[in-house]
Amino acid sequence: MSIRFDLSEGQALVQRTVRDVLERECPESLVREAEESGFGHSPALWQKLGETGFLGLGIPEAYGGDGSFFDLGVFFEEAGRVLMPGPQLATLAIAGQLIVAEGTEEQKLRLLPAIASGGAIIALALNERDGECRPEHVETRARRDGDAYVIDGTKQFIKDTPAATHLLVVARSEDGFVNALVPIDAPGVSVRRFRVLSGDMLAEVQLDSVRVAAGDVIGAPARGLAALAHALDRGKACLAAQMAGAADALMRKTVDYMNERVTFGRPISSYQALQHRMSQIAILVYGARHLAYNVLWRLSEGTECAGEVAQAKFFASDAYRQTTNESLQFHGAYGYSLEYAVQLYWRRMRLDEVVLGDSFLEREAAAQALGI
Amino acid sequence: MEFSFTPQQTAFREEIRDFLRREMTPEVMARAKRGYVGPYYSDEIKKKFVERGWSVVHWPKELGGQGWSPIEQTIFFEECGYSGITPGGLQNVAETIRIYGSEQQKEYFLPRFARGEVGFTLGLSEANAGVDAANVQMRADLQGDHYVINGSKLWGGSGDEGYAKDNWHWLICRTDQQAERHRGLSIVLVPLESPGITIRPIHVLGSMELLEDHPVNTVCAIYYDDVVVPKENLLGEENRGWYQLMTGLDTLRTNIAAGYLGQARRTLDDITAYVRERKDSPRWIAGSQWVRFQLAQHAAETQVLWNLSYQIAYEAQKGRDAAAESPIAPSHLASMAKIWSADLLQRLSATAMQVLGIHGVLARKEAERWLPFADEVQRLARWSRQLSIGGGSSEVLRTQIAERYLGMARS
Repeated sequence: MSIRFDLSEGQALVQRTVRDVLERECPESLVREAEESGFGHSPALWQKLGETGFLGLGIPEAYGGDGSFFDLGVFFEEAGRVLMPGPQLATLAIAGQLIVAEGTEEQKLRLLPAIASGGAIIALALNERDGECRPEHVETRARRDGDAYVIDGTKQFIKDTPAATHLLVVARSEDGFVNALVPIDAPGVSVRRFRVLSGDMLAEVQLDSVRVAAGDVIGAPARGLAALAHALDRGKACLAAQMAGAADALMRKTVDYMNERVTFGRPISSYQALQHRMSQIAILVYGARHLAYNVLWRLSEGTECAGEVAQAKFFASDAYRQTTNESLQFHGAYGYSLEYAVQLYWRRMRLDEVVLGDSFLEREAAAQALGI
Repeated sequence: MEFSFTPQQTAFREEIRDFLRREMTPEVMARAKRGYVGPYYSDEIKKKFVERGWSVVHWPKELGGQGWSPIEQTIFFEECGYSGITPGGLQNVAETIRIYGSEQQKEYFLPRFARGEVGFTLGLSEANAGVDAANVQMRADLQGDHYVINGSKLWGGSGDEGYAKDNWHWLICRTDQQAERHRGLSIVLVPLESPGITIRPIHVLGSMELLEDHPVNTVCAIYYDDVVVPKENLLGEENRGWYQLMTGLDTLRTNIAAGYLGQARRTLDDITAYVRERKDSPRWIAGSQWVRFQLAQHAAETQVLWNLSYQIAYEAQKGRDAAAESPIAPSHLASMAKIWSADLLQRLSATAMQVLGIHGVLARKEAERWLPFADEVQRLARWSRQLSIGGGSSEVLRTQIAERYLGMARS
């Protein structure tokens, strides 16, 4: 081991091929279509990603996958660039990694190949009425009934339900935290969807005496909380990479625009008032990307680093937010117009920042890790 | 991507730490503090470093260096910065002499650099040549076998830093009055004792006698009135001074960024420990969330500087040719690191000042009475203001990043 600030050959290959596929298969028109349809997802794109093996990144070969967790992070950075719609965060980075870490052999053999091929799509049903995305705040109950659990409760602000085949439901039980995979059409599950700022459909999910077989509970409830925290950290690290990728792409699009746009006889990119603000964005984007790389690498090595993950996530949120605001401003009225892509980044950033817990939560977690 | 150190590098860091813990006793540091603000240095400390051969550490052993790789240099300077000291600071001067010096110059200066027996003051800035560095007006006119030099320089050290007896001016001056402004400059090495040189101290925010109980080192204005210097004191080629000047800056920047990284880590650790201790005070309870969030923020910002510092070292290690293929050429990373480290140390010290309240303004004995780190925070708060000015102001560097890295149109 040593210091190495370049992608390895394998990582660079992942980056190149993912970028290639996404640039071709995930144009802006697809992003808009997924939004307008309310489905928030493109089955054709998902299938393509399954065929090319990208949905198996971070999953061991024995279970139909290939590539490290870091490679999965590289995928997320590229997905961020093109604003790829879809359930990748919950399915690949959280549920997938939870199963890799905690699943029984039977569960791994059954579920991981299904995820890698694109057949299984999992939504994260964690949030409840306070919207905090903290497992400790979960009120939903899982009552043991023989080998099975019966779950009652209401989940709020749940993303990815239009496309999902399963929900990863987090519930309290007498044995600890139950992380259960529930088919979205299981008896007792009802879903009410509504549109939000990002364009996605979020949902309220009612769980009314939903029966879960023991085989569908991932990991032992006694360590369910820690297991979920580890999986959430992996999700947050991937989300940080995704935001860094999106910010970088938007920054570059905006520079291109500024080089073309002429005012008072000069391209607006030649004005120092704008150059200095843009170079600040460049430093923030560098910071966001490298903090994400740091934690992706550590997690890939199996080193837990909750404080650093929190830092990476709030830093990426701040960098991305500033990039969207400045880019909108530098586009002038076009930035405000729905015809340009800037507003897509601007709106989706607002969900990315809060979907796995907001920056207050992350700053608090980082402060705790500092021992204060 | 990999972000771990090799076992050898970790052992290397431990060795540096052990040395610093053992040798940089509170007494040594207190003596070094006399006259210095920011990271400290002194005769005594210099002697300890020179004895270990830690003077020009990136030079090969046969030149009296250690042959350390850029990563090792970064570790070294980071640890020194954490301990509050900055060894040397003349790497770029030493580097230009090693590369461009005549045989006689190398024979004279290189061993003296290694032994810490020579002092240099940078002679670049002038009244009308700060950010616009190529606007140098100081002139050296060749008359027979010597130059006659006239004009004045600003903001260099006094050359009388106590630990070097043999002090020189590394002088950028105009040797061709007709040439395009970058092309008429040369570097001349001038003994500071030369007749016709007058030195006037300029007191600055970073070194305030008012706040000390002893005389302080200052920056200076250095005036030349028909100073005569032998032609042999020209460094390298006449009228190539601007281009020679750029050499060695990368080495200097690598080491400087690493030192600031160490300082940032130290300040963050100090203020975090202080906050932990004060958890029961009304002041802490009132400001707790703000303090927690600020420190979390600075921790992330410090990690960004870690990335910049070690990536610069990594790129340097890969070699310049290979580095050209990387997405960001090292000079852009260096510009980012320069801007970011200045911002970080300014923000961090501003946060720390606010956390300390009125304790923050204390100096000398009164600060020692109340704070475990005495007056280090207010010293950093004032000293760090020059970080975004000296060595390329943040504004100039931002324009460079915009044009050269982002590809924006020329302003």
